[in-house]
Amino acid sequence: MHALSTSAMRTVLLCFLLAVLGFVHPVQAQDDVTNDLTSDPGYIDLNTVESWFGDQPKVEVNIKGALLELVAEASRYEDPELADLLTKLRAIQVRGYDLSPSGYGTAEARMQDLGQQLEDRGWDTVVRVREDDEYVNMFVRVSDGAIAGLMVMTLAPGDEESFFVNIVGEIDPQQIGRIGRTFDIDPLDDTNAVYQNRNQN
Amino acid sequence: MASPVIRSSDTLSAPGSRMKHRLLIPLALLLFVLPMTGCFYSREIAQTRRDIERDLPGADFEREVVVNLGPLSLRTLRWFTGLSEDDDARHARLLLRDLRRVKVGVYRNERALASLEAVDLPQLRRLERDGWEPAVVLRERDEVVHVYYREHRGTVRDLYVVALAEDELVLARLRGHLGRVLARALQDDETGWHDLAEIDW
Repeated sequence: MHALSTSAMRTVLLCFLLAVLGFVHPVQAQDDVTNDLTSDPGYIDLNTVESWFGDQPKVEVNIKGALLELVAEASRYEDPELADLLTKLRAIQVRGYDLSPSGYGTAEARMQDLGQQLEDRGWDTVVRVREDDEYVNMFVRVSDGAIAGLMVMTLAPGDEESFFVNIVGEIDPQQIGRIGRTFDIDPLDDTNAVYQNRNQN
Repeated sequence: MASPVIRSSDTLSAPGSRMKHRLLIPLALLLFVLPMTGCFYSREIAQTRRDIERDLPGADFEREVVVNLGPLSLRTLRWFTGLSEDDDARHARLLLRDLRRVKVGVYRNERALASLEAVDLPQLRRLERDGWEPAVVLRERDEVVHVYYREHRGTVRDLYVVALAEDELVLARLRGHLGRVLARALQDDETGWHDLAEIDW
């Protein structure tokens, strides 16, 4: 009996130590972040887009939680304004695809469907531009009087020309160019130029 | 902030020959002791290499370099960098201060792969099951890069980079206060990261 209780005590102590040292914590914490995000009004599951192209994305970026905080804090010294901007965000997701001319029609129709779905779910269209066979769409989601998310979709046949960017959190659409430059996401910069032109006109 | 002047020719100059002699004995000792400490083997790196080999039946990765440095080895390296007044050594010393473990594996692929664009590496999902979060995935014709991170008590403590080229595989795992490492590299000067990326492992 004495031996059993000592062993049980050891097990409890070991579990406690593991929990305190964080061996159990990381996976749990990340699951919490992901679960929190899916219920966020500004979040869009970009994996749904993958089936449109029948191929893996050429560019895939998932910056959230502690990684986003890390980037924000790291940039505070050089660009405090950018750091403040990033601390208001919860996630940045990017998917970039090559699009063959033959797959363009299907992708275009599905992009329009997704745009409609977003509008049905309360997203507002901020930019919708079509020039020849190039599309640029930008949507924002407002929740409790503040922007809760932003979605940019660009579509054009060719290598790495079709991008889907979802920024979760409080973001001023005028600042997306800055985020694009920071994370080297050219379509955000391009969309920002379209947005600025549209506002000036 | 004044950008530091890099004087590579100054390395171990002036009282250089005396410095070189001072370095020789500890360096020889280090080279003698390191293999006995397991610094040139990492089970984790080897496992990832095997996983990737399973995903690429045509590949045959021959080990070029494997380095596994723990706190003691890193402290020793830091001490060595302290012997030089060179700017590069100063950079390295600062970066080493916040690193707790560095594992790097470089493998040469004996049978170069034709195109990497369509390569899928499903075995890497093992990393995700182990709590690693994919931050960035880039798939290009001649290179595939996966960057994973792991959180610990709300901060990014682990980074795992898998870079597969047509004839080479590079695996690198860093553990430590990565936020500080990143912030320091950004604060130091703009060349800090280029220097790191250009290390000839």
